[in-house]
Amino acid sequence: MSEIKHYTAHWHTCPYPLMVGFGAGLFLPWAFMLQFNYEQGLAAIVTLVVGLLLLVVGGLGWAGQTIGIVNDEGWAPSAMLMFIGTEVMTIGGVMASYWVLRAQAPIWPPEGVTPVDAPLMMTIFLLASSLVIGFARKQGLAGNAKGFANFTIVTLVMWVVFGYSMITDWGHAASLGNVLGDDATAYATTLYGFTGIHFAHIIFGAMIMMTGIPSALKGRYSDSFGRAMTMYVHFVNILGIWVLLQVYYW
Amino acid sequence: MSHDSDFDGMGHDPNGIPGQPKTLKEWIFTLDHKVIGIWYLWGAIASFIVAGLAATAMRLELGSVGPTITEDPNLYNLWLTMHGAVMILGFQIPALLGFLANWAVPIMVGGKDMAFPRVNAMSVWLLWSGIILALCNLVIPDPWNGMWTGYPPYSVTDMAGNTALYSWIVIILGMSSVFGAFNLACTVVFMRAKGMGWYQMNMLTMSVFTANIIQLIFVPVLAASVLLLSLDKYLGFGFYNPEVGGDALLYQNLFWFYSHPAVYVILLPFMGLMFDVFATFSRNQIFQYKVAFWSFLAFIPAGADVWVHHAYVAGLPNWLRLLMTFTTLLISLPFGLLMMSMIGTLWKGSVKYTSPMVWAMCAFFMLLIGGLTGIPNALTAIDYGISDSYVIMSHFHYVMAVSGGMAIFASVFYYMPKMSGRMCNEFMGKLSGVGFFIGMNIVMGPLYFAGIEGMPRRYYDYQMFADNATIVGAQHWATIGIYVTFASALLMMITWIHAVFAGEKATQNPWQSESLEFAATAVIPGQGNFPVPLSIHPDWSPYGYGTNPVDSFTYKGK
Repeated sequence: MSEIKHYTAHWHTCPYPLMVGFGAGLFLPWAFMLQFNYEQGLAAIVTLVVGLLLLVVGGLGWAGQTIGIVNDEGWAPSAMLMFIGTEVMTIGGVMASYWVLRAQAPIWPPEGVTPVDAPLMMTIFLLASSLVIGFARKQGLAGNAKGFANFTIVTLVMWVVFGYSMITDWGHAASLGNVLGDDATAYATTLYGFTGIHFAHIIFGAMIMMTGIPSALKGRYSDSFGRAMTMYVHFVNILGIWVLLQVYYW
Repeated sequence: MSHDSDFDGMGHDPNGIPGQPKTLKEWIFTLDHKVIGIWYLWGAIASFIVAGLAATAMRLELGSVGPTITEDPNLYNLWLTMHGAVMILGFQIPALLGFLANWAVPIMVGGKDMAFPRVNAMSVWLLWSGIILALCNLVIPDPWNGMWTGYPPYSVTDMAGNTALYSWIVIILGMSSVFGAFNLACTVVFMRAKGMGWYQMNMLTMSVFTANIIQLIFVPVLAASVLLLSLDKYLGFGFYNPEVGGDALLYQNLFWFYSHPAVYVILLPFMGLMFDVFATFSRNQIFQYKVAFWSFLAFIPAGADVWVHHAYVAGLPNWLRLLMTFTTLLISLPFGLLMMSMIGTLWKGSVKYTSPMVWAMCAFFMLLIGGLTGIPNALTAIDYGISDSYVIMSHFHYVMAVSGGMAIFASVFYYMPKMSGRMCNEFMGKLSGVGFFIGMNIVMGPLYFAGIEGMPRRYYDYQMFADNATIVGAQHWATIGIYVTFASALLMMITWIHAVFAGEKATQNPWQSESLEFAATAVIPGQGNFPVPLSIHPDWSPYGYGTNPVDSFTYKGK
């Protein structure tokens, strides 16, 4: 038997997963609880800021260490596909609730409710962002990381505009009497619930895009990340159509 | 069979011990699946201690009629809530899908790590966040006391306490599970050693893979259901409020849509672990390997359409009750096949009763009793009489809680030589296993009879049954049983601590297993597992005792 070589153990380390984990898992929940369960507004804001800082620094640091540097063998799109599958199930849970409430209502919208107009133009605008993110990936594949960054920023801006329009739509719906709380209705519950879930996905998708931009501006692009990100953007946009059809046109 | 010659000169620890980090930074910021697995294990053990103490307190309270150790029913509710939520979400699922999946599976498939090491690290810190949130419930004002189920309308009232805490614990642990699940799925699909076919995988790998697919499908629905709880309570939505057109029963359906399959998320990995332990210590191949392989997968569709049996008494149409009776009974089929496969694996084997084997055998008998007492529960007519009674409580403790817990402890004894490089004391290990088994049977066995007499579960006291000798006697014996269980659990932990600090040094393959995590002597210390990518012989099997080819493993770099 030949001589056995002894390895010196080497352990890879990275602080960013811990920052993201505790930021999202500990500080954000406590911010919510301090605000809504204990009504400690100041403490809630401080906790929220700490949580968001951990998320931002952790997310950017993570992306900076990996995108265009670590070879993940191209498995990220497969993982994203599975993640989107779980997202479909989350939305399925909310959608099932919507269907149950509609099925149990004698008429829809319930009597006395003023329904809101469908945000058709803004949804078409949102869909256009799928084209833009497609251009972004095309730039990335062509080796133009900065082009990828630029088109991603345009997509991000389009999403911000859509998100803003969603918030103004909610304000308009509330002015028509569709409120929550003591005067809540099944219509208002499902309207804000379903569109709110979509809004949450807009925010999450925007965070994914933001993590990739700094690396791309430095000239680093990984198509595994680019493809996975693009898949998520398309998914959120398709969700927008689904919300439109379900909440406004059904 | 030794494979040492395959690894000559590859550079490895002579005992094949992966080793552990030396610095705090390497521990806390680790990206290595083995170290992350140990973090999961610590989290699971901490949760087991908290949930176990809560169970002990409840059992002591129920030791006699009337107040025994507390006069505050709300405190009892808090113990009950902590016991259920922490034992399932903080102990069993993280131990099985966190510790075992992380520590063993990447090496079992011949991979260098998990597919996404950073995502893996984030998952474990999300788990720890969830555990810390759960522990906060013991010290915060307005603690959550709505049980692990969180049923509305109670849970959206102020009486239930901090509903947001409950929602967030479930959501954060759910996020940890989902990120862990797609990571593990990618690891199994993409990172298997060259030449390793699906039918060459360990039963543990297959069971963990299946459980993670179930997690990916069903966890999000639970997350959605508890999110809506908080939306209802704090933001004035009305999903579960009948006054505005909502439906409280909707929550039960969403909740059990995940939480029944969650039973299989726990059941399958611990059965997978038992397969591996049984094969190792009976020196036998898995009996009807392919049947067991597909039986695991069958739980995905079969587990998806049984949740309504949790709501038999909630006013369902008869056709639905009948349908769900059949679908629930259908689950017995893959479960029965797995049990038969286990018995066949032991049959005529050269059984060696080591400490992991004793724990696994005890888990098997608990599982058998729990499985058999589960079949009648599927029948609506019987369930009507025993729903929400001690019969149900005893059943799920046998079939999932205690059997699963014992299998998890078996896994710690099984992998201790590789994790710490040292052996557990065999006598102490076996004694604690047998003691735990006897103790839990004294606790849970008599409570079946209390349930048949009509004792409802979750009650703080049983003054109304003070004249019923069966119920009072069962409560008395159950409380005696908890002393035996507590002492055995303590002995088990002392055995582990003794092993880590003063145990006999482990050899490279102390159990003479053919599975990669033991048989592959080229496991290197630190990150990476193997010095160069591993190739597997087409005839190799992790259970090929006496049949594996001499050149089972080769290296691309050789």
